[in-house]
Amino acid sequence: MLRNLQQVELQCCRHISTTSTLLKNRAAKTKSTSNRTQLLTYEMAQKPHHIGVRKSWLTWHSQNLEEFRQSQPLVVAQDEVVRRFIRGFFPQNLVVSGNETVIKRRGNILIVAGFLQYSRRLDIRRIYWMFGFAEEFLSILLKQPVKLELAFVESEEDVAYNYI
Amino acid sequence: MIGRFGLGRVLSRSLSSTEAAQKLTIQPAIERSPTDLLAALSETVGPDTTAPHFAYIDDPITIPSTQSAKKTYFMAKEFGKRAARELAAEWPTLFAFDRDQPQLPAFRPQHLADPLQVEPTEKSLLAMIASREVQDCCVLYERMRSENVEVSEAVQLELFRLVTYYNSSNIPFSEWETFSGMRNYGENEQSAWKSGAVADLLFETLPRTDETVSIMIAGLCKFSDHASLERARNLYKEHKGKIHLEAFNGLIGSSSYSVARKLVVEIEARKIAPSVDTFNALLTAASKIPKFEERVKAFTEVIGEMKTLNQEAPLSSYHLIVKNLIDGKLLDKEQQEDGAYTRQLTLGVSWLNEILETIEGKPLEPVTSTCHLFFVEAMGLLYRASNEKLAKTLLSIYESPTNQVKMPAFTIESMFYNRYLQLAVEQTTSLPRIHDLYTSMVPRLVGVNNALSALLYRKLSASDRHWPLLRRVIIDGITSGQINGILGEEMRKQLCNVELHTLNPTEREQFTALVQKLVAVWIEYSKFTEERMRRLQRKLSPSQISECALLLTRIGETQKAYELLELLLDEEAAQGEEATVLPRGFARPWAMAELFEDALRKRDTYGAATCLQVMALTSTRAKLEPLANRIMEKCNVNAEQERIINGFVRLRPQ
Repeated sequence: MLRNLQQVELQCCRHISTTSTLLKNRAAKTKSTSNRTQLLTYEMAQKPHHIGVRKSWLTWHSQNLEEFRQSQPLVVAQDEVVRRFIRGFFPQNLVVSGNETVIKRRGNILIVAGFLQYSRRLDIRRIYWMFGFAEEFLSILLKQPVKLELAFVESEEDVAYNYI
Repeated sequence: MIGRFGLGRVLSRSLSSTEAAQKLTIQPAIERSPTDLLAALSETVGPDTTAPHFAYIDDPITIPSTQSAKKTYFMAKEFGKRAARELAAEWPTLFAFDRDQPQLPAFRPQHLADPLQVEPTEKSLLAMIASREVQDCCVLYERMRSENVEVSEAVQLELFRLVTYYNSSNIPFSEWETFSGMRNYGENEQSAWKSGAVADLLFETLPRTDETVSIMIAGLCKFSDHASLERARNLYKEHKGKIHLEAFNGLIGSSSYSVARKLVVEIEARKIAPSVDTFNALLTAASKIPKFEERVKAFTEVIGEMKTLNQEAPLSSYHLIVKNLIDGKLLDKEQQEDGAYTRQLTLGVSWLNEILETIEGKPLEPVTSTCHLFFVEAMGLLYRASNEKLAKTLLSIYESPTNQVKMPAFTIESMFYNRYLQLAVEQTTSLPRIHDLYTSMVPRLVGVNNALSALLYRKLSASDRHWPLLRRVIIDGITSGQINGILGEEMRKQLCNVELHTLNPTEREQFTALVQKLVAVWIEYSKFTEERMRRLQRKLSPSQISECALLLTRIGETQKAYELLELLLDEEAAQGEEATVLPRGFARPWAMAELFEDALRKRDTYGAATCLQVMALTSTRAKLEPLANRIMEKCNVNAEQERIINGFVRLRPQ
């Protein structure tokens, strides 16, 4: 009896799994929560197969024009520098942990766009000082003009497109 | 296969037939300059006149409304930039992300050389002279002298030129190149000649040549006080050689007109060709003539002379004329009673008319550093004369693409547009036009200011209602801190005058939101009773409370309105450190009457009784009795309530 049981088990193991779960594309899809508390901005809410259509404008740049060409590793390094700086410099004002910053390259100008939220003590003079500092600091660091186009929202919920 | 051959034949046939019919020619490329594309774009797109100035963050909370906010924000941003540059100059190795080819010095800020540390050589001194660090140059020169380092005559002359031009002080803010905020907002005091400084020392050291004497005279006249002018004149008299034109210009500008004319004769005798600065100096001398007729005659002479010599007058010359046409003392309103002011103003406008006809359509370029001041001065004159037609011409000249003379934004340009806007608003009765003008200029070109807002409220009261304009003026007033004081009172008055039935549903929603916001702000201001916040507190006045209650009733917030009115009846609200209401003043009778009628219409006994009690604070028994009777007629009053109301009225004074 026992020998027969072993054979049955072996036969089961040899089957090829054809369940649908393994055919699913899970990459770049935000995992949902049971109580729908995961905030998604408009950009985050796009499915991977929509990226080319609905987010293509985020990829427009002028790096392929003569005299503005930069090597890919340099661009990646610059992006990382800019993102880390913005995350570190505006810690009270970040929305979505500062992950949704858009970096645009127009000619030799680098434009940092995105959203910030009001901090606890809103001092507009301080905001202007910080913008001036950040623009100049990044310009000197990256050796090209950097401009901030960051808009303010009252709270993080204002940038929510969907909750999943 | 057959199909493919067939297609090929058809294609080749059609190609050959086209070739035979018309010859293909490739057009030569149109030659374009690198900026043609940008020019074409700017012609098509144009500026957005309702957007804020590009120097500011385009976000509702960060757009400045007033001139002072513009200055504060601009300077805050610039100080942030300066801090970053300072950091980079201090720790350059932390910014060594060196991928730019060729290396760009603009992104590598460096500290200035320390005059006490650098090598005391002529080369260092020349480098400092080139960077116009005047005081550092002086320190280095004195250090070189004390260390017995030989300085050649040529270098000394270079230094002498610099220190005399700037009076041994650092360059003024107006000449700062990197930081535009400091350039526009920084103010230097007019300094007198520094006697015994490096300039004097160098003048004594260097041989007396035509050049050195001329430089010295020009410097003494530029930073003139009584003693330095005397010294300049003595130098001129003592020197036997040929004085340069710059020295003459200085002497002319600081002399009276009669002396200036003699100096001009001297220039002519020495066969020196006069420059624009000479004529400007002559006009400055002419402007000192106290008598109006003689002054105008002198201006005419100078302009005539310029025409004779084919010298086109720059805008700075016109600025000097326009600025000095009217006697300074007549600019005071009290002094304008007699006809002299009107006569001078009329003549000023006709001069300006001539000037505008001369410059209209011509390409204008800056010749001297004061050319741009012509526009603001001319607009000031036209504002005084209430001449909108010429003001429009002036504006079109200023804004035309051929004009290269631009005023600095936020300071002088703002004054220019403010004067134009006030003039245009005063001269028109059309509220839609005022709305268009206002939205196109405020706050981008003109900061919100009390005079302008008061003028707009006056216009709004005089004409039919225009809700979009009223709303915009009130919102601008809120952002620029006009909510308290006379203009806050004006806001309430204007809102009370709005006829709600004339507004469409969207406008009614806007009205409701605006009233809610204003009342919430006023109440919040009154509640700053804590010690540290008390300087911000603005207590509610009884008139303010009655108006706010009326507005709240109109938007349907009756309960809130009566809560406010109860503050007037609560004695503790006006007493002690926690007081939120002013102890003096009275509720507006017309507002209370409307509130009372509203309560009667709704048969609201409580509301009507509250209004009666508030009105009883200022009215006699005779006036209150009919009101009490109306309450009893209209509202469902029981016997007990009737007894209380009658008793209350009977106890009031006669």
